Amino acid sequence: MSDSQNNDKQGLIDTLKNPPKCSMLRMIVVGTLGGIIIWGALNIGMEYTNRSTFCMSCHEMTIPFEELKQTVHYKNRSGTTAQCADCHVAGSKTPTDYMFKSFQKIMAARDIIGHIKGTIDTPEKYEAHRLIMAQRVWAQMKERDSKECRNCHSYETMDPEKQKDRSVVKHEGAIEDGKTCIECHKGIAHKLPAGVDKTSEG
Amino acid sequence: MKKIAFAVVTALVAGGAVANPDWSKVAPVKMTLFYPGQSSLEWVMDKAEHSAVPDIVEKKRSCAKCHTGDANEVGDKIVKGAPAGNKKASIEPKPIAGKAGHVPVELQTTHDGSKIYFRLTWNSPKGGAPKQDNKNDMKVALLFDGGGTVEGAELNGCWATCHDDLRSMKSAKDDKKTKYVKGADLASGKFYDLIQFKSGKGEKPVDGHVIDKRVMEGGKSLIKAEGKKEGDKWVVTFERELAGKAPGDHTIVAGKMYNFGVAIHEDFSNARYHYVSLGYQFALDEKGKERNQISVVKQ
Repeated sequence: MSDSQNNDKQGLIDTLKNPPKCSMLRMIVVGTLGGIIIWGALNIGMEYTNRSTFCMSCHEMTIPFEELKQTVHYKNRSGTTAQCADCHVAGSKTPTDYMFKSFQKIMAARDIIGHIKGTIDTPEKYEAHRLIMAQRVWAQMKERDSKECRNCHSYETMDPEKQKDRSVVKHEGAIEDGKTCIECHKGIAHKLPAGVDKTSEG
Repeated sequence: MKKIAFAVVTALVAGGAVANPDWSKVAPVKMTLFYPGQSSLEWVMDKAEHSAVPDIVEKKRSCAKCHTGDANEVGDKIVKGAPAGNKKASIEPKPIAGKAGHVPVELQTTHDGSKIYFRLTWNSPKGGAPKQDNKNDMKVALLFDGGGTVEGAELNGCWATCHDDLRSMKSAKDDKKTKYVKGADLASGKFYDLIQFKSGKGEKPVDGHVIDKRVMEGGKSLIKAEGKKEGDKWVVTFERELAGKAPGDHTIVAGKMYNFGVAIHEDFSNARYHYVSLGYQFALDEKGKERNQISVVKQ
């Protein structure tokens, strides 16, 4: 066992090229445990960065969060709450969802760039960008048939007895027309950009 | 000879009419009449105000389909002058303090082969506004078409008569202009028949029609209209021939769905200051699929 760094490095590469003999069982056990730890760590990382307080660590995000707090999605009779990640890093119930969720999480690195550049770091700048940001999210939701909404809501589990007549009628119409939630329900979590009609395609 | 005469008279009486229907056998229809403010047909069909216009035009949704459950809320909002519609503007420029926004009404209707009967029951809401009609504390009217003879009536009931340029409405220019049907034609049945009871002492029931204006006479089918108030509760009954006896009277036959609406003027009011029903339909002995389609069951 040499003390020089070079030798250690060389030793490591050699070891990797010619690993010592190890039983299949040991490999499987170590590999599985290692996999669980890595997977766990990834998940913990995902969930840690999904917490609303994490989002809020960039002060720009307090603007939409304060808007969310005024809505029934945040606070209501039953206390169920949907926060940042529930819609913006939408949950995964199927394997493909998880791939998409991970992809979105990586793409969220753009937000860090935006934060460093100060793109929306004042209320005025935020307002100036509100429409573009909203349109981006709406387009994404529409493409995914409002998966973000359908993770919690579904037509089948809506109780028509508890809905207003016009809601029942509109939802029946939406099913008939193959409309997706976000086409009508814009501006339910954050303020609608100025001049946007709730049901417009913009 | 006497026996024959007696038999003939009995047959005539028996075949002719039930003098007074047994109302306990007639299922009531619960309606919510609400205060409409200045919500003319033009306002209702303006997409910028009323986002449901595509549903109305393309999917032929009736007003009742969406609004039966919340007519009370709609009326309560309008009567206060609160913002209504997508433009968030009030459609009541002169809210009357303390006026109720809606009145629950029960309608019963039956027929006996030659006459049709309507009975309406409701509690008068609190009044106290300045009088517009000095004679009549209350007026109640039914408007009905000839069974799909007025365009749009199958969706809007009697809203097809309500326009923006009528007296007291938003674009009023003539303060005597009364409700009208666009493209009305008496001969082809494109009009509403109108029957009305007025509470004023000595006031006679009205049998008229609405063509290019409101005509409060000329009908011969209405036999009688009676009303009685006990405490706050009004009970008004109409008895009308099924047959149309004059121009301006529709003949009511089986196999047709008649579009109608009810309006009640309370508290000495006039013009648009009434409570109105959403569009309903009646047919003789025929229950439609929609909940605003009433079967007039024979007694």
